[in-house]
Amino acid sequence: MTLLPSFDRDALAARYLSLLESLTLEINAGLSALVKRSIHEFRSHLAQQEQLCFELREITMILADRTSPSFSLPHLGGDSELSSRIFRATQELQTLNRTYGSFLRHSAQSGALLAAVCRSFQDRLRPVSGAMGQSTLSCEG
Amino acid sequence: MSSLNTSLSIAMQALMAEQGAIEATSNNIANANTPGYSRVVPIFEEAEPTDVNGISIGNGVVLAGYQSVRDQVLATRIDQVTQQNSGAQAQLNSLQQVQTYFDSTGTDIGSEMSAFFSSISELETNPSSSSLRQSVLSAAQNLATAFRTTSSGITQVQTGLNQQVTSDVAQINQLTAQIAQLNSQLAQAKAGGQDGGTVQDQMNEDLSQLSTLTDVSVTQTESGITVTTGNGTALVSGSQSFNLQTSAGPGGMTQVLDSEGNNITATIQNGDLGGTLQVRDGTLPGLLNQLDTLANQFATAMNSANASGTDLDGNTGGAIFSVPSTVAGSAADITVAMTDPSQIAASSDGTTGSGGNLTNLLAVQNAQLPMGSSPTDAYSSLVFNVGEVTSNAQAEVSGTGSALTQLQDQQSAISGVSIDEESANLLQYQQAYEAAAKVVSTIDELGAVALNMGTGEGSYY
Repeated sequence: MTLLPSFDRDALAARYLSLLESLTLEINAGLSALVKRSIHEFRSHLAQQEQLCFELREITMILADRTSPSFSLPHLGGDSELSSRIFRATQELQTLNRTYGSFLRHSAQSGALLAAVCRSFQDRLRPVSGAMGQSTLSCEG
Repeated sequence: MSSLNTSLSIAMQALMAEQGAIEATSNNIANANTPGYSRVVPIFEEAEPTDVNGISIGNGVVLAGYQSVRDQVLATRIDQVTQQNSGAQAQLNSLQQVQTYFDSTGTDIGSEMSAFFSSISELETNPSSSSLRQSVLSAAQNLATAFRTTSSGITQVQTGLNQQVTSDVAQINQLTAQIAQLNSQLAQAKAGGQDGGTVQDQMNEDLSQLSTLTDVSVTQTESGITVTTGNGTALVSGSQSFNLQTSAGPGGMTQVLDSEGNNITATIQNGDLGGTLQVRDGTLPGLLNQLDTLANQFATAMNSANASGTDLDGNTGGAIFSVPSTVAGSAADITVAMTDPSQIAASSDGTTGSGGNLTNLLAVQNAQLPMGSSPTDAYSSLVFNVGEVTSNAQAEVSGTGSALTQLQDQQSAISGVSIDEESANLLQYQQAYEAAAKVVSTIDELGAVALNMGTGEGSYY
């Protein structure tokens, strides 16, 4: 685990909230990109999601480490408004994450099916010539 | 001359092919907004090459004919996801109704239980006070009412779902009869050399509607299509439809039977009917059982605590609540047995005005019941479970809705890339899906850790 510099607990909590909100935005954006079937855009949001998850995990591990000398958990912060916002942001993210998971599961099933069709047809399809050479089996993801 | 003739022949074939494509495109544009219209795609094939002295000479493209084609893979997936979306929507609709009985309104079980224990706590200040004793009895009445109201509410939702089963089966039968008729018309049209596209489109529309009602599988056969339920029960075969039937089952719950009278209720998983059955037969009985167990064990624990003290007349404490001897129906039938406030056994030593036994009565609030948790925690768990199943249904509605939009967009798009490019494209998606699944899993874990840290409203850490 990377050690984060020691700073006050509310600052850490504020950073945590900011990451939660950013991750929520990135998941929403990623979902929209996938629905539009824009794979490049989706991969860009996915990279952001991975980075934000990494940072969130780092902070969460510090917060969860009750033996850490830097923090006297479990009562880390004194700002109850901030705590409430983190609570709501966590709830919102978890709710969105369920939708994200459901969508990915169904979409991946469709993709796997189409990929199987492509594989089975790959050897049987011959390239067509002439003006309508673009009319081939559509299997795009 | 021969080569000129060959070239002209190739050019003519190519021209005919292009002409066919133009006609198909015009037809598509004219019908673009017609529900259920299937895109007509021109299919081209290479003409058989001519072998000249062992050398293969290409003969261009030939128009094999029009085919009213929906990409079968996408169409199948659209039907499947439609069935899953409708099932989730049916679950969500009913669970949202159930959830209202667990909202913190002040008259819900949680609020009334809290008020009940508060009234006992108040009585500790003056155990012989008639008004404070009356307050305890009133709070007990309110709590019993809350149990009964919640139980009755869930049962009403269940009854509504039971009626929905009958309604869904009737709609399914109507649609399968129509599909069988259209199947027959389509066969006749094709036998007469006609395309039958309009009939096909109407059939597709009916099949789409059928997909919102139940899980079906469609197979193309020589005599038209065969429609079966998810477990293989025939609904349509050629020009014949097979009606589903209903019959009253255990507890008055309507069972779904196939045309031969076999009970297929448990095999129906998706569509409005599948979602309705899952909530009616799975989710709601589970919640009712949890509620009944809580009511029964809470009442028993309170009665036991009251029996350990003496009332104002010096008698051993009687029952505060009355519940059936069996767990089933306890929440629906719980009542307050005590009629006289003086019967509250506040005293632990028989002394009038003593409140020693009130500690025992209060202790029930946080004491572990046989079900493994305290009444307060058991109710919280029940509320959490209702929230979880509702939230999961909501996520499934949204997730399948997005997946459906994606599939429909994909179906209407015309691809111009080669199959190799398409395969590579799909591979990119699969890799991205795997990476995204890890993100979902990480967020799940982060949520669990946050809960273990004691995350809650106003006390994040």
